[in-house]
Amino acid sequence: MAQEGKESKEKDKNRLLASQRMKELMTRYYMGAKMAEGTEKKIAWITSGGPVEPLIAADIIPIYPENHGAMLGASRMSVELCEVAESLGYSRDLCSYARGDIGSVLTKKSPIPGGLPKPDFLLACNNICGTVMKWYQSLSRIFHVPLFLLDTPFIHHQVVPESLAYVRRQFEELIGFIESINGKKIDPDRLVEVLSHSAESALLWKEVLGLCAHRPSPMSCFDGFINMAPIVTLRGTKEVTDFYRDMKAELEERIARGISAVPQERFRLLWDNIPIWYKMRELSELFASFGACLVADTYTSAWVFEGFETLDPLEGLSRAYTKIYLNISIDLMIEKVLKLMRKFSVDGLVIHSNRSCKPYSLGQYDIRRIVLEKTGTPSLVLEADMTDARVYSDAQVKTRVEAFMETLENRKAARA
Amino acid sequence: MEKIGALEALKEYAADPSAYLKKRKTKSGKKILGYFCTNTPEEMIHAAGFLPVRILSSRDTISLASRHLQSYSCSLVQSSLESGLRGELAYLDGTVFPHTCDSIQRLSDIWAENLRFPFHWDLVLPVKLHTESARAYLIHELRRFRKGLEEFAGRPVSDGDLRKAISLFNENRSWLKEISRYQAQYPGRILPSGLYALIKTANFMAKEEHNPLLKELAAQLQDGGRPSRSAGPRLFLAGSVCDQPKMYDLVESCGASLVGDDLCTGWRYFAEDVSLEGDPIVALADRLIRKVPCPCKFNPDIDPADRFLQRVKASGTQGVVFLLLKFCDPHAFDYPHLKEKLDQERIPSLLLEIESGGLPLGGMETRLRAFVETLSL
Repeated sequence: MAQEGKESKEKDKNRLLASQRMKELMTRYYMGAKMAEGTEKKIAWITSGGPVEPLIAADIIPIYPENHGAMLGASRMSVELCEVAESLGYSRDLCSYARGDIGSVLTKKSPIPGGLPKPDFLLACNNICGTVMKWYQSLSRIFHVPLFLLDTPFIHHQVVPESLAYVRRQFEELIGFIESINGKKIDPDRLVEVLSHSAESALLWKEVLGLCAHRPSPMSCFDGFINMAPIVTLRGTKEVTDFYRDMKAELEERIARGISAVPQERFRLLWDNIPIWYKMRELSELFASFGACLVADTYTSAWVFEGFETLDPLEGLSRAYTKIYLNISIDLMIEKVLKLMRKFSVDGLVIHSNRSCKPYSLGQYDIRRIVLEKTGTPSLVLEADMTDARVYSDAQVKTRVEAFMETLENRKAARA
Repeated sequence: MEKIGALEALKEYAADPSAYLKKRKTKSGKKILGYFCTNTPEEMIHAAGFLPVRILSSRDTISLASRHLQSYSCSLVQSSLESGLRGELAYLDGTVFPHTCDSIQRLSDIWAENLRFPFHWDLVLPVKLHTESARAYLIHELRRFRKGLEEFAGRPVSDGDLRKAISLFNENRSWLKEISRYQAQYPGRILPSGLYALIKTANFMAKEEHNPLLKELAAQLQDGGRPSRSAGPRLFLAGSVCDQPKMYDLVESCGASLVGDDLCTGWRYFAEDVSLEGDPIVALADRLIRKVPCPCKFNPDIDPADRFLQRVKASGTQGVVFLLLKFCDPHAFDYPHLKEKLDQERIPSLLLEIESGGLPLGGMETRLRAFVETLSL
């Protein structure tokens, strides 16, 4: 009893104040969006890597089915809703965000009462995958609303100027599209202002994540996964910059007071791919039980957009949205992983091979081998899915994590 | 009906593409470039003096590739890499990866890293095809490809070379189109196994050699004579690629005929010609834009589901068989919508999934037979 009390106190001490504020922020956001449903105010559904800035500048409410998908996963509602989509002929092998979302749209089941507010139009950017186009085409048929596709050519080696020019022209087309739906022009000064918020929040987010380079780390990537919701859904607003400024201050204070995410941090790990949303707490505790902290990840850092800071807003948008992590080749991904590994002094990689996400997962085996060859750093591959819990095996994951931690122990002992 | 000489020849070539390609390479001295997807402008490869060969592989066992690819990759991706790693594609001098789906995009990187053919090209085609900005980008991307080919060939590729190639490939497409018309008109005259040989060879044989065989075959089909057997229930195949001769044999052994298809290894390969007017690169770009968009492309000006339904109805089919590769996301996303369209028109359909590591023939046969039987009632 006394032991338990001590443990829970320890946990309370470890809980980030930011997480509570984030919940309030997100609740307000979703409530506001629900209230807007059926009013004059327009609602757009947008992909997680999509350019939200023109929407915010046009005073349109952006809604992120992927964020909702993560909520469905975390609240363990996904499987039931995926099954609804499957009963309509959507293969079980398709992205579980898409299946869960389609299931939620059709049944109105969701942690948000009544489900997400209905869109007036859809905006998909294929910088994260080709799946979003297919998913949004389905949504476009279900809701009978138009779909704008922002096509960001994939980067195999370097950015081709003509591909940037193509994206830039699409931003002009997108602005025209939004204006025609909204019935009014977007104020160019307002767009510049929104972009400066985005640039600032991306920078703050980078700094927040960067604080995990401290040994011991003041938070783990699991905290990052929870607290990334604002940078995904509300970037471009002032609330987000305020939120991350406070979060940064909180983490700096934790560092000053010597508070770490994992008591007696012994191993520092890097997470690759989208979280396993329905197993966050279990995985966080499992790794912590070995003194392992996941100090960095390739996922949350994808929202550290770079390139917003130019004099020409459309140029900035084109750069920021073309060069994101999932839109680059395996070679370029490896460069980024190695950079993160150096910055965060990483001892090992935890690679989530995510059945739902082929552009994120195919290539991981080669990345893993090349990282091992270049740095000697070992890695663990967890075969799972971001929200479809039917493909997850607790026992198998536990065994594999234990074996991996033993490898890391042995390496540590050999080095000592 | 198997008196057809041309068809026999095509069947022989189809049975051993690698033997043909090795021989052809020695004889012609031409390098061979492999490619994925019907959106690759083969004409450009040909104009640069190379033989374009579509990479299609359907191996029964996957072992080496599983070190690079998860089990949830489609059979085309897994099987092609396996063939590459086993040295079965040693006749290739390079590979062209057009931007299609997420899996092919990642395969390109894995391929380049592990196979290292002298030439590797990522043709980053736009996904959107209906806007002027997409068209301008597409034309640029094709010009960049032309430069890449010229560099590898060590010689310029002139507009004249391109036009010659276009007319050769248009001829091939026109024969394939003509044969597909006979296929719908006289389904008993060309059996499914013959259709497989036809489309398989179209994907790897040099057009100069393929065209005369098609010409001969078309003439024989037109003349007709007595069909070798009754047509049986008329089926329409829909999906992405089918490089499975066994699948066609299965349809044949069920007593059914094929009157049409919507496959990348089929109608989508030959449906659209390239104009011989104007800048040939622009003409090649415009062919891609005019094509009914495959599930990987976005062109709201053309409704692929409506076109699909029109073609299904025009074929006179009694039932549609969706032949989908397991883990092929773009096609799987479209399936419920296409199925719904067919249901509304009371056209029966059946879904069969092709997995890597061989066809589950037993189960498929039972389902296909049952489907064909209900159509014959």
